[in-house]
Amino acid sequence: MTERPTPSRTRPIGRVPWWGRLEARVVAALLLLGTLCVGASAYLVQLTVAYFDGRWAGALEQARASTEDVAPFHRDLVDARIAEYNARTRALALELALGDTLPGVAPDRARLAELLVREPDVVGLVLARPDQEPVATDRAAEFPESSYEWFDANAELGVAGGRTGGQLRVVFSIDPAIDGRFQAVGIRKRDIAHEQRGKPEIERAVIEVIGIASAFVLVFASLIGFVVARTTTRKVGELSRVMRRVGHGELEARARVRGRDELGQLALAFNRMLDELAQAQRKVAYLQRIGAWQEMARRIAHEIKNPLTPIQLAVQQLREKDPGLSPEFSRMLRSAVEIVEDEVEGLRRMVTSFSQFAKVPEVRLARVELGRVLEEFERAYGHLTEQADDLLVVAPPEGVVVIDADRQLLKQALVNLVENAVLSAREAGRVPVRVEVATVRQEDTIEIRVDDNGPGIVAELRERVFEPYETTREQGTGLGLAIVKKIVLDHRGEVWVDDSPLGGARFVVRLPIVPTPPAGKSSGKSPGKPSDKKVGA
Amino acid sequence: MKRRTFMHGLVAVPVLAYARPDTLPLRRATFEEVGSSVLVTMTLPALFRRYDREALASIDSGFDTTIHYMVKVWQHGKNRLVDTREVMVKIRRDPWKKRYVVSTREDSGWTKRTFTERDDAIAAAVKLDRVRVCAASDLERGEGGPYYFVTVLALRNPIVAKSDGDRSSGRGQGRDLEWFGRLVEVLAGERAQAEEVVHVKTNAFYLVER
Repeated sequence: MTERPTPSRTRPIGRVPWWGRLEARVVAALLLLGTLCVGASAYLVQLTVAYFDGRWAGALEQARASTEDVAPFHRDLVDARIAEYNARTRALALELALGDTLPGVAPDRARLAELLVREPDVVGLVLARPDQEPVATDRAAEFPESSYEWFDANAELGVAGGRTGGQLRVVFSIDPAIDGRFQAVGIRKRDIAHEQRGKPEIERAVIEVIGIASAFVLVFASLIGFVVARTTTRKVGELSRVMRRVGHGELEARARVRGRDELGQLALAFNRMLDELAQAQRKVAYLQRIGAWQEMARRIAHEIKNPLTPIQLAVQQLREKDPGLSPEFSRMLRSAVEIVEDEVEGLRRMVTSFSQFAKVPEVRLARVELGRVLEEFERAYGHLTEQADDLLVVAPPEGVVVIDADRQLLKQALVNLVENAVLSAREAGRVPVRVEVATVRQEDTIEIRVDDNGPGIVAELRERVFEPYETTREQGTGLGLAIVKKIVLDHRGEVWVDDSPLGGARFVVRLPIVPTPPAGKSSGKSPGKPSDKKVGA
Repeated sequence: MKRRTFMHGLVAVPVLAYARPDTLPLRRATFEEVGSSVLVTMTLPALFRRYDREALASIDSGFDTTIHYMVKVWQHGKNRLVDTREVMVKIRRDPWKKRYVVSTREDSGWTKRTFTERDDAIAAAVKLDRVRVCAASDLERGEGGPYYFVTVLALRNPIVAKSDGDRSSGRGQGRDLEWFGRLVEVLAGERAQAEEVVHVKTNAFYLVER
C-alpha cells in the first residue's frame, strides 16, 4: 500500500498584487473616507447656500418691491407740488387783482418785490398787463446752481379796480432734495436688480470655490494619507521581507527599527527574538561540539591511560634489571628510562585533563545564594597561588541574590577562570598577580566578573578561547575555559571576554536571577564588602 | 508628447494670445474735421431695445438712466491709442414738466435737450452726434494713411463698485472671508459692468491733405 502524500496546510506566499497590498488598501480607504467626508461637507454647504440664497432672494425681492413702491409716491408728491404751485400762483394773482381795487395802491414792481420777499421758494415773478410793458422781478442769483429745476406757474388776473387784469407768471424753485432722494432710490433699485441678475453667476462661483477648496483639501488629505500609509506599510513591508528572509534561513537578517511606535517596538522585539534564537543556536551548536569533544577525550583518555601503567612498569623493570656490566650502557639506559618516564608522566597528566574534561558531570540546579557560593569559593580556593604578593579580591553581591546553580560546578567554573587568569598573568611575567572577582546586578541577571592584570586576550581570539583545545598559554591544555563555558551554558547563562580595567582580561559570567520577595527572605547578611585575601597566606 | 513639442507649444501660447483676432463688431460712423477737432457721428441703438420693458419703464418712472460712452481713437494697423474721450448722457422723464430730458456732458459741460416723445429722447441719447473725439493735430494727414478708427464702449447704467469695508478686516475669519470673496468674484467671471454693454469699432478714416 503506497503512502499518499499529505497536502500541506500552508500555502506558499506568492507576490501580492498591487491592489492587494496593505498600502494600496490603506490609501484607497483614506481616499474613500476623504471623498465621503468632503462630499458630505459639500452637500451640507450646498444646502446651506441654497437656504441662505432663498432668504437672500426673498430679501432682494422685497427691497426691489419697496423701491418700486416709491415711484407712485414720488409721482403723487410731484403732482401735489404742482397743484400747490398753481394754487399759490392763482392766489398771488388774486391778491394782485384785489390790490388793484384799493386806492393808492403801490406800483406793480413794488408789489411784486414785496411778494418775492414773502415767498421764499419763489425765484421770480412776471406780471404782464395788456396795456403795459411786463414787469418782472427775480432773485435767481440767490439760489444755488445745484437747484434741480424751476417750475413755471401762470395765472390770470381778473379785471378789477379799473385795471385791465393781465397774466402773472411765478417761477418756483423745486426742492432739490425731492429729486435727490428719488434718484437715490433709483440707484438702489438698479443695484438690487444687478444683484438679482448676478445671482446665478455668484451661486456657480461659490459652488466652484467650494468644489476647488474641497478638491484641494481632498488632494492634500490624500497626500498626507498616502505618506502616512506609505510610512506605516513600509515598516510592515520591511518586517515582512525580513521575516521571509529569516524563513529562508538568513538568520542574520534584521529589521530596521523605524520610530518608537508599535511597529518600531514590533521590529525591536523581532530583532531581539532573532538574537535570542541565534544565541540559542550557537549555544546548542557549542554544546554539541563540546559533547563530541568530551566523547573523543574520554576515548583518548581510555586508550592512552591503559597502556601507560604497563609501559611504566616495563621501564622500571628495565632499570632494575640492568646488570651494570657496561657503564655506558647503564648510563644510556637510565637516560632512556627517564625520558620514557617523563613522557609517560606527561601523557598521564594529559589523560587526567582529558578525563576531567570528559567527566564534567551534568549540572544539577538548585536554589543557591550567590554570595554564599562566592564565600565558599574564597575559602576553599584561596590557595590558588603561592606567591605572597599575589592578590585575590572577591566581592560578594550586594543584598541577597538567589540563582539556580550547581554549587560545585559553579565553583569549578570560578576556579578555572581564576586559575586561567593567574597562569596567564604569570606566563606574561606580571608580578604580583592581581585577580578580582566582583558581581554586578542587572535587572534580572547578575554578572560575575573575573578581572586580571594579565596580558589580556586580543579581540580576534575572544570567541575561540572557549573552544576546546584552544589556548593562548604555552602550558595550557585549552580545556579549562571550554569547561567553564559548558558549565555556564548549562546554567542558562552566558560567558564572554572583555577588556579589564586592571589591564588584562575580564571574563564575564551572566546568570539569571531567581526573583525573590523583597523582604523577609534575606539571609541577614549585609551586602558584602570586598575581602582581600593574600593568596597563600 | 516630446519635450521639444511641448516647449514649442508653451512658447506659442503667449504669442497666440497676443495675436488674438479683433472680435469687436463694426459700426458705421461718419467723421468730420471741424476747426481743430475731429468729430464723430454714430448711433448705438442696441443700448435700448424695444423689448427691454424694464429699461423703458425705468425712464418713465422718473429715474435717471445714464449712458457712459468711452470713445477711443486708435491708429489702424498699429493698435496705437491716440486719444480717449468720455461722454455721459442722462435720460429721464421730467415729472414736473411732463416731458423727456436728455442731458449730455462733454468737455464743455452739460447740455440739455427736451423731447415730448420717449422714442425721440432715446434716439437722441444713443446717438453720438458730432462728438469731438480728438484734436486734428493729433492725427497725421494723407490719403495714403495712416488710417484711424474709433472704438466706443457704451455702458447703460454702469455699476459702480462699492468699497467692501467690512471684508477687509485683515485678520482671522475676516481675512478668510476677504479671500473667499475675491475668489468668488474671480470665478464669477466678468460680471456685467452695466445693464447693457455695447462695444463696437468704427470704420477707418483719414484726414485729407490741406
